[in-house]
Amino acid sequence: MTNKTNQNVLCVFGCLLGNKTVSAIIKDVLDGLDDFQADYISVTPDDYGKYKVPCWKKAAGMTAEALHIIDQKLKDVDFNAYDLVIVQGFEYGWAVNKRVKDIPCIMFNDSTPTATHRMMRQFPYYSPFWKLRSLVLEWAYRIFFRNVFSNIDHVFPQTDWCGRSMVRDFGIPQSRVSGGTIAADLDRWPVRDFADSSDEGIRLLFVGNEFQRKGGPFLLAVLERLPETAKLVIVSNDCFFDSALLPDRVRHYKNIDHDKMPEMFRSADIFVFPTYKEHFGMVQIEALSSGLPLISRDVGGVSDAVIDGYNGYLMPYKSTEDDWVKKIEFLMSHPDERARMGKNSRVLAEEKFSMEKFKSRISEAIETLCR
Amino acid sequence: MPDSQTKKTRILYLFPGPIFGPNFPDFRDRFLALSNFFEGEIYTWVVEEKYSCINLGDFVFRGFPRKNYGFSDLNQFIFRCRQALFVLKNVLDRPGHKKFDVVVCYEPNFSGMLGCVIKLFTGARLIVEINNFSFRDSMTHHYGTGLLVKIKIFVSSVFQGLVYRWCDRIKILTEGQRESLNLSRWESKISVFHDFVPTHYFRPVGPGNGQKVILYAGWPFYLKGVDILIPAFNLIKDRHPLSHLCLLGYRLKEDLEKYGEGWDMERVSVKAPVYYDKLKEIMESCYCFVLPSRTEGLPRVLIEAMACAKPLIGTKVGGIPDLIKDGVNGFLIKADGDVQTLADKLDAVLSDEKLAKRLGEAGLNCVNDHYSSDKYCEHFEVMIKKVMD
Repeated sequence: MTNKTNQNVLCVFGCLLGNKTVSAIIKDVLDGLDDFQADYISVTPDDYGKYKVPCWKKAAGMTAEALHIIDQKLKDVDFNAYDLVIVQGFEYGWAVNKRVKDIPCIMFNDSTPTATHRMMRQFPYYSPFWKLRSLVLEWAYRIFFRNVFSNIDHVFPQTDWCGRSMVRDFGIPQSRVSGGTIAADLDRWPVRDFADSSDEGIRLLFVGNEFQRKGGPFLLAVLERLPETAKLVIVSNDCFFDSALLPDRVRHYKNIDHDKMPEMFRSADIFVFPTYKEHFGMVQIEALSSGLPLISRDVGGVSDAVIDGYNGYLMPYKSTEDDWVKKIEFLMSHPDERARMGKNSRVLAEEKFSMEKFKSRISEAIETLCR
Repeated sequence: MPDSQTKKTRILYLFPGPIFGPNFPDFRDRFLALSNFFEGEIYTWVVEEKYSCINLGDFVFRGFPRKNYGFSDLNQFIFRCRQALFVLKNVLDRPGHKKFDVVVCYEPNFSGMLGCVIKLFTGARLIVEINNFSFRDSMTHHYGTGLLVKIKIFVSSVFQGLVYRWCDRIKILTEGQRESLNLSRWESKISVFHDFVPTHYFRPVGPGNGQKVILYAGWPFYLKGVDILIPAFNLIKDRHPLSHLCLLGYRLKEDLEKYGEGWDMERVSVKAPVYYDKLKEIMESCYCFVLPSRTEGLPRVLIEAMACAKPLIGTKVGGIPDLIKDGVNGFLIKADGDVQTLADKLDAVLSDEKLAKRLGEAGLNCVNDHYSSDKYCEHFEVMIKKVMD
């Protein structure tokens, strides 16, 4: 077995600005490895003007347009000059897969359209027309996009939920899909002091911008049924709060500096995440890392971060306000349980979402595929 | 070239599947602990779909989703074939992935055969675990003595012989299994140590004051001797007004309706099986643990009870005498024995709190010395080293 001295790697990323976390981590890892020369391709908003898209594809929707542009852009690239291809995102995986017959390829993916459509159909604010449309689209994807990833050697799905969908809907052999891989810098979110439990009641914390999608109104209804000692802290820039009349025990913060967020997490007691539509929710890692017990709605990949009864409660999608009130009241009256779950949260964060593990996993996959 | 010494050994686990899913400590902590020395994958075939692909430490847990198959023999056979195909397809089709160094099988029948095939194609080393005393007995206990069962037993015993011949190491629970399984031919490749029990998860609280709960957990009804336990409890309960008997297990209520007509069920509570974190609570709050089994491997519940520093009462079957030393950390009685002896032992433990405390502490020491989760990892490491040499 011989090691080539210099390996060329091609990275095809969604956008170097958006999806910043994962692409930045991959770039970090590649910079850290010796003997690897990396080239980067990404699709920018300019490309939408550069390439001509047939009108029927424009009419078919955003995804078809994007697929066409990516396909055009990758046309001129000589894939045979590379020893490894790293691709991020569903659409890019489709375009790359056609061209990498003999080259090892790693794919990072945050969600699949089929899983997203399945999730969207549960969303209570959707009209029946949109639900029917999403059903049709899901099956269209399942039929026309089956086996479009057959040349990809390793898939890193962002969540277990996405990995399952890659296997179930797109026919990738399960052995090529790893478990959910997502990470954040845990040192930025230090653990709170568990002994510091004030007697004046507990503070629930909600963080998120799209208030309605993330179940904010539901949370306010839950709060109404809770005893007076429960306070709610909302960190959100949503326009909902420009006109909303909030009860006294709700404190709303707007435009909070990112450096001040760890303090917000540390001063809360329970993190609530009643979201209706979510791929994962990075804010969950922040809450885990700060040592908060989580109460989340089971949708999409949220269940990666919550093990029911271990570090919080995973509520079924159709759980009512009363179910939530019961769980929160239980945690209010059992501070020791809160502390236990909080400690477990930190353990889970270090075990599943630590940056070192994530990086070592990527570099290991790169090295095994290149050898 | 990378240094071969710093590389972790890659292990492929073939496992029927954790009953409550992989996120409970009895399953999860094993692989988190093993991640310090090993990495690899776990293949199972009876899990909910949401657990079909997750990370446990450095292991990846993969499951063949459970579907609603019927229980007829043909359906079961088809299901088995699909499971086998699932495992083989995924293990053998590994483009660009690292090969497995070791394959560990949970039992010598289905997963043992799968392990043999994988060994044939990939050249990995094969370890077979045996967790029962006699395959024939456990089959007839569960499925009766019909013709089909006899054929099944015959066929599997032929394959078992092949698996024993092919594997590189046989892992058994206790010394007693050597005789009952006729393993004398494979003497050179046997390792003996206990199964993983997350002992660090339990707090050593000792026998509590207040209400004295006698705990029993197990299934099935007759083999675990519940029919001895309840009359024995009825004999002594007038003398101990604070005592209470708690039974945990599958189908206990139905079995009690069937066998237990006219039994006095006052101060006896019957519960369905509970999740592991709930079991921990119940285990920690009980006073002593009783297991009057008629047949047994190396019962994990006893190790869990010892980790909580509770006094134990068990029978002289299977691996129980390995765990309970009579008079040191609990009491041993004769298997299938009379009610009176069990009642006497219960009486002794219930009436003397100091004795109960002493027995519990001795049990805790025994667990820390021989059966803790760290010990399991040590034994496992030694076994893998032996196989790799």
